[in-house]
This record gives sequence, C-alpha cells and structure tokens, in this order.
Amino acid sequence: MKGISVSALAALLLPGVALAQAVTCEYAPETVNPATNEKIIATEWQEIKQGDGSGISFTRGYVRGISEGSEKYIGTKINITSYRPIPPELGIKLEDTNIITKKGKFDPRLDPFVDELRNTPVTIPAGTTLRFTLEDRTTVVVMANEDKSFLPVVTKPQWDSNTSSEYRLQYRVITRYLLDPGTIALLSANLVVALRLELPSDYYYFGHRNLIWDDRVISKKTMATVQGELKCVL
Amino acid sequence: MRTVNMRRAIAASLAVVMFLTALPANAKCKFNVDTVHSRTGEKVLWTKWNTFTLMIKGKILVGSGLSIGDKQYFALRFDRYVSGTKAERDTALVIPANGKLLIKLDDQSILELHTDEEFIGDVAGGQAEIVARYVLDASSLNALLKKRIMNIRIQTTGADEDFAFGKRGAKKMQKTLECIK
Repeated sequence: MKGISVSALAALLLPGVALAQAVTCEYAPETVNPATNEKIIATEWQEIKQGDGSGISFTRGYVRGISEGSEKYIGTKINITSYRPIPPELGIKLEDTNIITKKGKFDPRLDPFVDELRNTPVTIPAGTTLRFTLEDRTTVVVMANEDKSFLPVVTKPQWDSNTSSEYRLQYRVITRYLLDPGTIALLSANLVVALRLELPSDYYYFGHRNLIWDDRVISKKTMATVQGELKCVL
Repeated sequence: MRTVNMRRAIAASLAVVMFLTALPANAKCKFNVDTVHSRTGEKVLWTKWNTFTLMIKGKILVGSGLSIGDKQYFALRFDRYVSGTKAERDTALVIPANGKLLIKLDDQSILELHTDEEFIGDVAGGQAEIVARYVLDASSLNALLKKRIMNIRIQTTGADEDFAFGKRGAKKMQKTLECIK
C-alpha cells in the first residue's frame, strides 16, 4: 500500500471526488491538542446504521473525519451496554424495598459494589482494529494508535425491565484510527459496504462483509458516509 | 379463423423461445457484486449466493462463482456455531493459505482446488462465517462444468468438513460457474 504511485493515487481519488461533491461538510468547533499545540479539525458526527429499525439487530453508531496537523483519522462513536448482577454474597435481593422505591438512589449497602461498577473501565488499546469492507469485498484495516479508557454510566435494576436483577453499565466509546496515505486513497475512492469495530471482548458490526443477511445491510447513504466525512478533512 | 389464431400463437411462442435461446449464456446471470477492484482496477464479478444450500447439524454451506479480471474462483461460504472467548472465536474457523478443497465428481475422480490466501471466519452472535475462494484453472473449471459434483471436503485448521451434493444443487452450481467462464 505504501508503494502506491502518484498516478494510481490520482486514479483512485478521481471517482471519489465525483461522489463527494454532493457531501456537505459540517464541522465541530475547532480544538487544539494541548500536548502538541496542533489544531484539530473534525466533522460533526454522522450517524451510520443498519437494518430498518424494526428488528433486534438494529445497530447505530457515528463516524467523523479528523485532521490534526498533517495526520488524518476516522473517528467512531458507539454506545455499548453490559449488565452485572448483584453479587449473591451480599445477601441483598431486588425485592428489598429501598432498591425498588427510591428512584435514582442505590441501597447504601450496595455502595461498594456500585462504586466498583462505576470504576470499571472499558479500554480500547492501541492496535485495536476497525475494518472497512469495500464494494469489491476486499477489506481495509486501520488501527487505533493510542489507548483509550471509558467509564460507564451505571443504572440500577429496574423493576419492569427484562434485566431486572442486573445493573446496567452504559459506555460511550469514542475511538480514532490513524490513516496512512494509501488508506486515505482507498477510502476516498470507494464506498464502504460494511464496518467492523473491534472491542476488547467482541466485535461490533455495521453491515456484513458478504451482504447476505437482509438485516445486516447498510443503506447507500451510510455507505457514502465514511468517504464523505474523510473528504471534508483532506 | 381458429387455425390462423393458433398458427399465430405458435409462431409467437417460437419467436419467444428463439429469442431466449439466442441470449448469451451469461445473460441470465445474477451478480451480487459487479464492480471494479479497488486496488488493481480489474473487473470483479461475484454471483449471487443462491447456487446450492447444504446443511448438516447447524452447519451451512453455499457456493458462488467469482471472477477477478481473467481469473476464476469457486467461492464457498461456510457457517457454523462457535463459542468461547473472543480469541478462541477469532481462530475458530480458519482456512489456511493453499488450503484444499476436494471435490468428488460423478466419474469417481477427485478434483483438488486450493486457496490462494488464508481466510479467517468472522464471528457475530455466536456464528462464525467464512468466505473462501479456490482458484479455478481452465481444466478444473471445465471438469466442473462437464461432470456432476457428488461430494466436497473443505480443509480447515480445525477439522475437515464433508458435504454431499444433490442433483439439483450440482446443476445450479454448473449454471453459476458458466456465468464467470
């Protein structure tokens, strides 16, 4: 990929230019990296999703293009949720009235457990991958170049919820992936038919590499989103 | 009057049949992917995955034909349930580079195809799915077009997987391979 010639780069970029002409660039307020003093230009988050919203496989996330000095990145934002049951050794049952009735407050006996949950991070280590599948079904893999950790918002068990006996941990995971010139050329020239985000314990899919499952198909608009956001920061 | 109408109807039917048979063989081909290769600029044609479906105990195998430029491939999509940690699931379904696909044909001969790279299955929702492509040279493509596939054996890093073909599936696969000839 590093050996890509100038003419090949131009040939790859040309169709991308034509597609990106219809894109309207919206930018988030500029910021500065305090460590390097480099200006950070980022587009507003653009939603990407798959499915028609009626199925349980409906998945939503966001992407943006980022430029920091001479470096270019693709940023992703997703919400991930996990559940933790009340440890049985605490001897506290959900039926205990002060868990159910005092909305927004935890039973004080649960404080150490809840503190532990609130300080349970999800870490996206450097090297974590984001894989794009292009229209020809070949893939492009990019990596996060820094460790990032996220703390959850903890919600107590809800009486009327399906997961009534478990605490809910919601993480907003924001990652950025460094792009080299070859990858920029490929993503500028091709639509992305599927994305796979790596998480520490699993993967998170938008679309499917082989587009065989009806409920894992992303829309044409979503397919052009990565290309559009990237063009806005080139 | 009735005879004239009947003659006209027969003539019209014959015209339709002649038109249909005059169409090139690949005019009826349906492609899932019809695009240009992002790196090489070659034409990429990938037929739909509706050739045959073989199922054994929660394992599903479907086939397709693929052409990239002037190269042809027999592509397989194989699904099976997997469990374990992410690391275990990541390596649960792998077809190595130069991995074998053995195809038993109706004349009892064995055709051996090979992958040209390693393929690693994706795992979503406890189901691993791998799409592997096997290189078809002129003689192997010709053999598959002329002889009926009876059985196939896929070599994976875990275990070999065997599937038996029905008549219909074998015929559909031949029609699909015509599309990438």
